[in-house]
Amino acid sequence: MSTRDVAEKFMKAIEAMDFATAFGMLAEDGKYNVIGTTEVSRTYNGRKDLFDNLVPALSTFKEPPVLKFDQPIIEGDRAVLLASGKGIGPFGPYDQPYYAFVAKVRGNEFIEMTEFMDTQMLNSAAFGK
Amino acid sequence: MSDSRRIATDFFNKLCSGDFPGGFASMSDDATWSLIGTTRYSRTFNKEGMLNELVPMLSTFVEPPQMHVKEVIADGDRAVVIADVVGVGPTGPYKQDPYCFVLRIRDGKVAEIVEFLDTVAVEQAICGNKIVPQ
Repeated sequence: MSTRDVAEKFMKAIEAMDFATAFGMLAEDGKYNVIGTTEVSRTYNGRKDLFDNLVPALSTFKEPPVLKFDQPIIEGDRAVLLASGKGIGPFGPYDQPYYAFVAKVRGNEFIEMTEFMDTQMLNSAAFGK
Repeated sequence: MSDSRRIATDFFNKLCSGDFPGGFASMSDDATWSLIGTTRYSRTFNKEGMLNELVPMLSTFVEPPQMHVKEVIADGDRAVVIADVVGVGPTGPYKQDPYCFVLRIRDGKVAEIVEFLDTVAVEQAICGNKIVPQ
């Protein structure tokens, strides 16, 4: 698969709220980074860490964020996926008009992904801070 | 080197070296700069707003933010700049690593910038707001 193909598969899965498929695209030895200092902000090492620790933390949403993607920015093995989304967290509305996933692709998987979003909104909606 | 990569790289070289007039000259007259989030500075600025609000905000830093570009990813008329920054804001230490800027280039100039950053760090280091349980 090309970088664009991998990016498009991820975007379609996220838009369909098929998080198992989307996050399952992280390589076993991949790294997934959530920016900032929130309760879920750190680098997750590999798919298992992501599924064991990040996904459950986000399962508390009353309405999971529905994301809509823009045209991706692709160069070589790099993909930048821009999105916007809204949902309802356990502590209130979750409105993210600007999301960016900066990824590195290897084969059919991601070996790196960094998720940029409004961390204050995440703190407020998901963790009541 | 693609035009968008060259223009984005030149633009950030100027900003990183403190050449703000040179940076502004690299932007189109109708350029916009958007900061994500809901902080005091989170909105879309035109050039006048950048000069009147963003640049003065930088001058409040106890230790000016030092930015370093790590990577530029370019595709067509868009470029993504991955960077880091460290400094001391008016109300605390300020660090963004990584930092992400998404640029759109038009007619050889920077026309749009969206700055993706850790808004909690902005609240704490620049706006003086502590993050506490509700």
